[in-house]
Amino acid sequence: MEYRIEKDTMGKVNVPAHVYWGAQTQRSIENFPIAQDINKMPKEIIRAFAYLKKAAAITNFEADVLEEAKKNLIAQVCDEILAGQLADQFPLVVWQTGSGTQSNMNCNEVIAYRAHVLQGGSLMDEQKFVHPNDDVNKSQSSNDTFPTAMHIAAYQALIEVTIPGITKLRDTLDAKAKAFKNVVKIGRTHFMDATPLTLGQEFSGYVSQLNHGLKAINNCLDHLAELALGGTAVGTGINTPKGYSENVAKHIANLTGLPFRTAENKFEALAAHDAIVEAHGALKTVAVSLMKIGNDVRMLSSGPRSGIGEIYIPDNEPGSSIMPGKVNPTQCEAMTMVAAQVLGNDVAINIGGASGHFELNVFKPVMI
Amino acid sequence: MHSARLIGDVCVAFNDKCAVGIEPLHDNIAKHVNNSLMLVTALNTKIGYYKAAEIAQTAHKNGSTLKETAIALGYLTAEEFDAWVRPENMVGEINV
Repeated sequence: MEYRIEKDTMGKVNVPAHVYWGAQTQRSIENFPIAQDINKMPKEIIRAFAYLKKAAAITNFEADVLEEAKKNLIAQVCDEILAGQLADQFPLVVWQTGSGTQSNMNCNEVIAYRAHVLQGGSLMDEQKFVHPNDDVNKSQSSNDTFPTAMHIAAYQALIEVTIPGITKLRDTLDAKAKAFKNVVKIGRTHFMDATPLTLGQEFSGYVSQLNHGLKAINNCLDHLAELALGGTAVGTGINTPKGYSENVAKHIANLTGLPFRTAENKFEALAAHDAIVEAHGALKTVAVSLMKIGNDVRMLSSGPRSGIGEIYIPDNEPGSSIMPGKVNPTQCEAMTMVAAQVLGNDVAINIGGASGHFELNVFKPVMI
Repeated sequence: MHSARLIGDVCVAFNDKCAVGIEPLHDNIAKHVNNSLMLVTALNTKIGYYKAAEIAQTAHKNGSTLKETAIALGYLTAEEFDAWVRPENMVGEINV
């Protein structure tokens, strides 16, 4: 492979010649050979960084601390990242520094060096037109950018994927509850025969579970809307121009179309991730609901000749490689496995969230 | 992120490939309801919990129906059983 030499404060590093990342990203690749093929930093986090780097450049320009040409170049590269054009330039995994500094620097390096090329330079040039730390990372620290990216990415995922998905299932179950409202069936408690209820009443319980889960998720959004950006190194806002926190949050809100605002307390925003713990607590609650619903559906549909067999579920695929004609409740199986994974993730997030020390929580990457 | 994505995606898959197609299997549902010994609960307010329990336990031991057992024990008539033990009257208010 062809290499070029990039420098950081610790010296020279060989970097593949044609990539946009620099010395610090390369060091992370070499220092953390941990599940590098499977545990990449989520692309949603990289997108969140693109929003916040663009917002920071605009805010810095407005505060007269970044020249217009550099602001425009940084914004242009961020737009490229948001359009998915530089996806292969973010090779780092979750298993790195607990502050996410190396992923922040990965973004800074790619934005700076791509900007240098866009304005006519070469990756081989020792001096680049835009500097990763002094320009792209201006008025920022990994300690405030990474938690900001966590909140942006989590907020977006919840409203774009999670809430619509749960709502869709809730609506279907609600329609079933109404359709089955007069179907009298036997109740079961302790797995044993109990007094009757209707199938619709039984399904209405599932609907209520998901409604409460949706409410719990929605309740988390207000805390997630608070952004750490402007706190910089320890929450004091050192090296930021006046009004920076409020303005950069406004720009992020404009760019994303979401109600982000600057965090009331930057010390909490850097040192704790209670908003993430709370949001995952809501996801954990939904996972628990889905486990119960999935188990009920597969037991009620069990059979066809020797099970409970009170409901039909669609036959989606052959279920056995040896038993001809067998069909299994595979969607219930996938859903209950997802629930098991989410409950496991909750343990990791709880331990991470509980382990902030003094001015910084350094379990950030694993929590997102 | 992992959990948010997983839950969102699995809800859609379960919805599209399973939930939308759920239908009751009325024959089995009716069989299970009619065989249930716990329909006896409806008799609590008519003959008392202890006599009702005796009917359920005896029916279970002998493999007989609640109705046969209740009449054999002399606690009520066939007409009273049919009037009082009606599953559709045991489901409370249907408000879904």
